[in-house]
Amino acid sequence: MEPNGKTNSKTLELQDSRYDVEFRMQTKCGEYRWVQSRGEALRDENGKPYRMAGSIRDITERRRAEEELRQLQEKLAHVARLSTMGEMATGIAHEINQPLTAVATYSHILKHMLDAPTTDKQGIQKTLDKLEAQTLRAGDIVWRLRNFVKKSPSNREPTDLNALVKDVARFVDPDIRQADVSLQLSLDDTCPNANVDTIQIQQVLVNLVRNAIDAMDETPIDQRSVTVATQIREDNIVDVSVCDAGTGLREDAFELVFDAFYSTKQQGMGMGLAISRSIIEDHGGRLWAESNHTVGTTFRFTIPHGDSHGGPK
Amino acid sequence: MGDQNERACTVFIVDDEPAITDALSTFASMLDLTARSFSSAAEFLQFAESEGLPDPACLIVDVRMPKINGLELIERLTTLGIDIPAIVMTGHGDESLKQRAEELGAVAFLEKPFRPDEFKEIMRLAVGTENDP
Repeated sequence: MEPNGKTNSKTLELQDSRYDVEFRMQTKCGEYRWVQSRGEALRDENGKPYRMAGSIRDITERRRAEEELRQLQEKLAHVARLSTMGEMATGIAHEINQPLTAVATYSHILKHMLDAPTTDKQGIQKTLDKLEAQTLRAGDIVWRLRNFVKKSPSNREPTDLNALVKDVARFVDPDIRQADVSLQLSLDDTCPNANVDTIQIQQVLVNLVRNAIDAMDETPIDQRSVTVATQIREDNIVDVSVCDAGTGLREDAFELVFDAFYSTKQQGMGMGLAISRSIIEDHGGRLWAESNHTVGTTFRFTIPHGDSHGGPK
Repeated sequence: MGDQNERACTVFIVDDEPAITDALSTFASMLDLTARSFSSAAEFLQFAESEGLPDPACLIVDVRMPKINGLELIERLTTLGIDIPAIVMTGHGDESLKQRAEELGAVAFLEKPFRPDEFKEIMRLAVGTENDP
């Protein structure tokens, strides 16, 4: 076995006398091939193993096809993020202009203070602190943007989903304010970390929240609300939901909305939910829509957590 | 700035962005103007209706605010018969917004981020407008 070959250590433990392992081998000509080896110990009536039976398969092509598909999905998700960013550009520009205006004004005030006959050191210090805070705030917005649109290979790491939801809430704040929507977070403090690609799950949530906002175009302003909730379920699963108070979906649209190029909006590619679903399924979870009992729709997804699920692929 | 009329002028700043109200009210004080900040149009409307506005005064208002936006605020003030020169600020200016602000009688339209010198000149204009018969 090639030393860097990845193996599935869980199945190497020979549970029930069976094994199933994938690894790389180097051929005589120096080429690496992926191999799957499966088998089991056959036992006699006393439970004593007397023979090993199994198969060895070259799965290099399957592995290559899976990797190509994964890369294509990543590229598509990246294009979708760029598209989302384009749609959010106006609001983001507004968001950045706020601290910039404050920075320009505080700078002018400081010049004035320095020109004054007596130096108000305390006042200057206080204004400099505000200037610094607003500069960092502008930098933070740019950092979040850059992070969201960057093209990087999928990277799954233990992530606090509640913190992720709060980040998304800050990210969509310009849209929330523009649409006069109230955003509520209902977060389960007991949620454990889940092994996810942070940017991809952010992308799903940004998509769901922006859809929720769009769904409330015709809802009276004082009734426009989106609730993002996290909840731990008993079966090693975290449940994340985005609930709107919009017009709701037609009965036949609950599945159709996840089809590629399906859209009820004038803008957008109609790819958001299709990509979101593939991201969630790739994480071992599910994404679906359900009707609220009163008004609007809830989009809900699950993410497995813990050692038994959701490990890196 | 700094003559008797300007010194007496009260500047009302209405923006849901605390950094802007803080920076502009400090700036207005620096110009020897009295500044009062409000974080929403509703809050300012309530104040204007219950306490009345001093004279001279001017209003600096952001367009994009929840519930009642800046342009709606100007409209409501007009409906209530409250006459105050208004400077409209926006972080995402476009021609239609500017046109709408002009139609509503705004004395100036400022796109964020604006130069403080520009702001100072516009304040002078607003105060001057107030003092013209």
